[in-house]
Amino acid sequence: MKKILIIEDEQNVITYLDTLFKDHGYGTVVATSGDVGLDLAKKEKPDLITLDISMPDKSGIKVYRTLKEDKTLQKIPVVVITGVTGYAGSPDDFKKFLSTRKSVPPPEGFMPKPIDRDALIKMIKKLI
Amino acid sequence: MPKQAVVNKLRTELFNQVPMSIAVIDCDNRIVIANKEFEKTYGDWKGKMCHEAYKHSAQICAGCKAKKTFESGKVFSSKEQGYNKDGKLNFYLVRYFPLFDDDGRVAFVVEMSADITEQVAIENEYKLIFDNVPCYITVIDRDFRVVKANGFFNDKFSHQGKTYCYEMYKNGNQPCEDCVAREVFKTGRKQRGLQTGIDKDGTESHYMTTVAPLLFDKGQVNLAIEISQDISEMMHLETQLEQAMHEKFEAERLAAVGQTIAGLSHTIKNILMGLEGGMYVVNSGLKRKDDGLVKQGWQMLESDISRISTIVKEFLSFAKGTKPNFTMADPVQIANDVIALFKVVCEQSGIELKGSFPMPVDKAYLDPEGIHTALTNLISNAIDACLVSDNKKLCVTLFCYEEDGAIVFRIKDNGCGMDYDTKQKIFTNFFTTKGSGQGTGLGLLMTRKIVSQHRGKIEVNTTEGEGSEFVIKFLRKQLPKPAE
Repeated sequence: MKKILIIEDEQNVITYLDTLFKDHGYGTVVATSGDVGLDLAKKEKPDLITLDISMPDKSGIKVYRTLKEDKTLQKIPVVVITGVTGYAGSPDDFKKFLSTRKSVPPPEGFMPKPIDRDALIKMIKKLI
Repeated sequence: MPKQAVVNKLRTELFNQVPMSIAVIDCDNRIVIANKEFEKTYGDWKGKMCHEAYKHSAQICAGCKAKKTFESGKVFSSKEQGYNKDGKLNFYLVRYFPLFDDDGRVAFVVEMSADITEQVAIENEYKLIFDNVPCYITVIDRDFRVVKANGFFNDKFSHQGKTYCYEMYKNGNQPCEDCVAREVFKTGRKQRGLQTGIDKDGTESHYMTTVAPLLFDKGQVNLAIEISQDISEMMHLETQLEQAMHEKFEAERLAAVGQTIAGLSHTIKNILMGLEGGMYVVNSGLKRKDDGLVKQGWQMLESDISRISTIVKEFLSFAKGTKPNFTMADPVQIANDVIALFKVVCEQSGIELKGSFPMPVDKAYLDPEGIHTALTNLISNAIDACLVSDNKKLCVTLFCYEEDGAIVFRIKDNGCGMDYDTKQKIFTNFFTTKGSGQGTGLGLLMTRKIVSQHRGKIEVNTTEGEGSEFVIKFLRKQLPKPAE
């Protein structure tokens, strides 16, 4: 069974993603903060990570950079799920994040909230 | 010296020493003799006609009073203007009296003139000032009868058939209740007061009146002078300014509503995701026959619905612009109430909550509920800032005191503080750092709105990692007045 690590601070979104992934036959590991996420990534070696980059302390960006700079982790595909991204949901944070991190490759997947379930599952199936 | 000789000498001396110009003229108007004072003022008179010497004129004056004295033998007086020996205009008062010969005919006329040039200049100056000074000036007697008024007053208030101050200024038929002059007549001391009158065109006019005693008689003020400065224009400007401020605030509110809608649509997206998630989890639980999952999904739905409810309520109250309810309130009392509200929460969270009220603060015309909300918002923010801080000995202090005519509320915490970006955004709608599901991002915006409803100021000082301080200042003289 393929394993997905969910890094997300909001409990309701965790429950949602957790249920969704399990329904589609994936195993899940949950981390409610960036630091716990990095620990679990090392320990659990997940097949894919969903990462909320817009957690209040913005540590999502740091988590992503650390993931992609770590030789043992950088191959794990990451799907970024953006939350609060400026007014009317413009993905400003995400664009900024892409443009300022040239040494780091862009994430394998990107999904704005509210998530499109079918598109997300399709994306994950393609990646793993 | 024999007595007659003394009398003769005195006559000669008097003639020359009296501080008036004296000239004696014959029936042809020719000067036959003049005194030293005359010579000093009008120069050499010998062989000159009266009008030549006084007025540098070749012709006899129209209505010559000397001529009348010659004709009637009676004494006349007149106020004249002529030129002195240097050609300078001068004013003088003349008295004409006859010198009879033995037959009882007028042989000569004596002209005695007193120089009043200086008095006339002062009088003119005074009249000019009196009439043109941009104030209404009236002199009134003890019955409030206007005995003298300046041009400025007459142009604005004087109408025929009106004699009393209160008739002219206010179109009233009895002395005003708040009469400023009454006190002056009673106490003999100067008084000031703000008055509202109606001018002769029926327009309302506001003026600041100063009344001072003008004439005392037997220890009683008989006449008083009223000097009123018209401040209608100023009051009009103030109203306009208030209007402009109101419009500005309204425009800001509308702009904020626009931003709010943009922000709201984003928030709705988040909630929508929560609802979709909840529904999905419930359905999934039902399919799997997993009661726990159904329950979890249901809780997700519940929490998102309550979030909608909170946001809609706050949004509505913000968009509507709830009317503040102003009343005389004790600022320290409000501060104390807010402290009491958070006592338990702080104790449980290990945060020390202090109220610092070093002095009693006089009651002020405030919206107590609004102030309560504003302080609640700020204290609750301060507590949140402490909860995410690593600082030891966390402390939130609410100060309330009066300083330089302003009521000050100061909320200081040693929590996490803010970085520059955050500080720039804190008064913007839907800006929140508290993570999804907490805080609506409207609290500080509401706070700022409440402060501006009191025409106050809110400022923030913050250092990242060290804490924040919010200062609200209400200048007493700028607070709304009970009458507004």
